[in-house]
Amino acid sequence: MNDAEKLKSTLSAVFRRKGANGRYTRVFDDLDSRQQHSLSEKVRLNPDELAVIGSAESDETWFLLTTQRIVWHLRGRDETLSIQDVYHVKADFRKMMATGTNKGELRELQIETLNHSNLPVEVEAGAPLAGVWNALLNLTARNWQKK
Amino acid sequence: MIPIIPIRLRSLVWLWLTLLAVVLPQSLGLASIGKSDCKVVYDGQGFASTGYDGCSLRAFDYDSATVLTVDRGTDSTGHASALFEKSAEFLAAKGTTTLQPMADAAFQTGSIRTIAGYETAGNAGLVGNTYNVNLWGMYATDASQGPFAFVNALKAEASAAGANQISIAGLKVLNTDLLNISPKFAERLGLEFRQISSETILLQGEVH
Repeated sequence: MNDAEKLKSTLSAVFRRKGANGRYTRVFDDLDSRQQHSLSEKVRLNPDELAVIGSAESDETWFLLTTQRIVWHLRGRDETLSIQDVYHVKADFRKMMATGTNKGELRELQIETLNHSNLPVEVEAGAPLAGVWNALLNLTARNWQKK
Repeated sequence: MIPIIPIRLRSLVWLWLTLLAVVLPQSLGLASIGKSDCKVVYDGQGFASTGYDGCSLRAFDYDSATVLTVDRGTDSTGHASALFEKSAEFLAAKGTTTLQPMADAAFQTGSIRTIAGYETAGNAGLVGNTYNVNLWGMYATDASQGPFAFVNALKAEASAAGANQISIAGLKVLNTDLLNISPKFAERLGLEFRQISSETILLQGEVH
């Protein structure tokens, strides 16, 4: 098993242990072929890059975590972030309270980068969000160790 | 001189007076005022209650049954029964029949703060000798000091508030790992773990 396969295995296990597959947010290999195809069309993987977790809600809102990057589309913009640049992943509790968004309805996470800018990502609410959140937190822990 | 009123009319007057005496105070949320069993209630620190006691103030002066307090000197079982007894009274006076789930109450009345490097959302308060912490949100920041430091910080808060028991409720839990905390790990934290439902956990123990 090479490094990419090990990372994929670890992040997939974290997703499954701390969250669960949803309707359109799943471990990439568990997405149906149409969803996999849709995300693969949007993100061209490098030869040594593996898709780990995908969220294929629509052409306007999608998300893909690979062994090298996080790529997503939200509010009309494509975003890409190296997994080495993820410093923290948070939920905005204040915004939730202000907007009356309870935890079960939460779809948005804030990725804080190493240069401390905040990037919003959206995935499926509930257990899928918990899985994505904890997989990303696993990456942050690795990056904190490197600091 | 007593006016002469036909018996049937007198009955009607008495009926109206009785109805006014019984129905009007209830409709104003005043049903308990003046009850002979009214007594001052105290919070866990021995201060007179500011919660709804069913006696001294109208239910409409309170926003939520979650402010209820209990009598001094009752044990934890007594606390619970007193709480629910007054809750029912409160809700009846408010004209509603359903209790608000704690997750909703903690969400609506809670605050956000950092404890031992964990960002938390929820509320906390003393009921008798127990410090109750209700958390609907929590995650580790880069300054996280670990679960032992987190629990110890809450126990220190509890101790400072005068509690000798602590009860930490995790509400709307999404992280399935948290739903399956091992009893041994909880024991190492000095707490007993119980899963209440598919999304609610409870950690309880003594405060030293």
